[in-house]
Amino acid sequence: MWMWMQVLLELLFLVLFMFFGLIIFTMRRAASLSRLPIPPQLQVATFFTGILIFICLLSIFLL
Amino acid sequence: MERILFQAPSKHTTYERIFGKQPIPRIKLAPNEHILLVQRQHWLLLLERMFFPCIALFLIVFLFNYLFSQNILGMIPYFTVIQFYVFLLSLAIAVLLEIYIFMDWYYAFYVITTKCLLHMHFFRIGGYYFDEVFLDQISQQEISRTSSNIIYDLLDIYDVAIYFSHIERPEPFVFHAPSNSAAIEDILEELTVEKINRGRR
Repeated sequence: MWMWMQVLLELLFLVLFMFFGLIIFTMRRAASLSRLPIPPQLQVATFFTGILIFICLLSIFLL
Repeated sequence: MERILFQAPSKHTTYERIFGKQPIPRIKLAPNEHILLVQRQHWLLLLERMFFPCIALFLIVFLFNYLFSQNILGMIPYFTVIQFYVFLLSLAIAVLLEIYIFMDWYYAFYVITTKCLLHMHFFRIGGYYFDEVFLDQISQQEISRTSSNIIYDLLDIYDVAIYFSHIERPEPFVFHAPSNSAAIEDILEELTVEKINRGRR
């Protein structure tokens, strides 16, 4: 049961990581198209969310 | 004596002189075209959209914890680890959703220039959305300001819809809950009056 739970969590975090990548891509393109800078607070929030998801992905894999 | 109701917008100052050095998106302008107004949607709409995902995720975490505490799945030994990961997962989903909602709001603009109306939406996966109406080639039939619910009505948040008498554009151009609907309506009225006066001359 624990193993299935682990796989499920890993998959969920993987989907989330892909969604994160998509958001970053769209954000950068929107910034370049509109020539409006991304707000710095949002850049910080995005960076830490990325780190969080990545650490979770690795730690579940290593458990 | 004829009373002057409005000053012609073409004699207005440019957007920079009216609104200062506030950053605005890149807009291609024709010769003698000036930006009269740039607005996003009202910030209350942003708050409303950001509020519901947070509540939903909070309920999911609460339900998950309740199910685990009842030992329905027989996973009490792993309770703390899984609970911790579910918390992190919901936190990450919530933050990502909030970022998405914010960017969606931040990169969408309503622009009025002396020659056209624009709705620009840059935060899109496939290209960017661009709805443009050239005021010289299309005549406005009606401008209406309506609120979608009673709370917005109390807070002065209105949708401004412009209906055209043109077969190529049967649907109206709608400013969905802009941050200052009264200013939009004023500028549109000024533009219409200027166009009527130009037609008389």
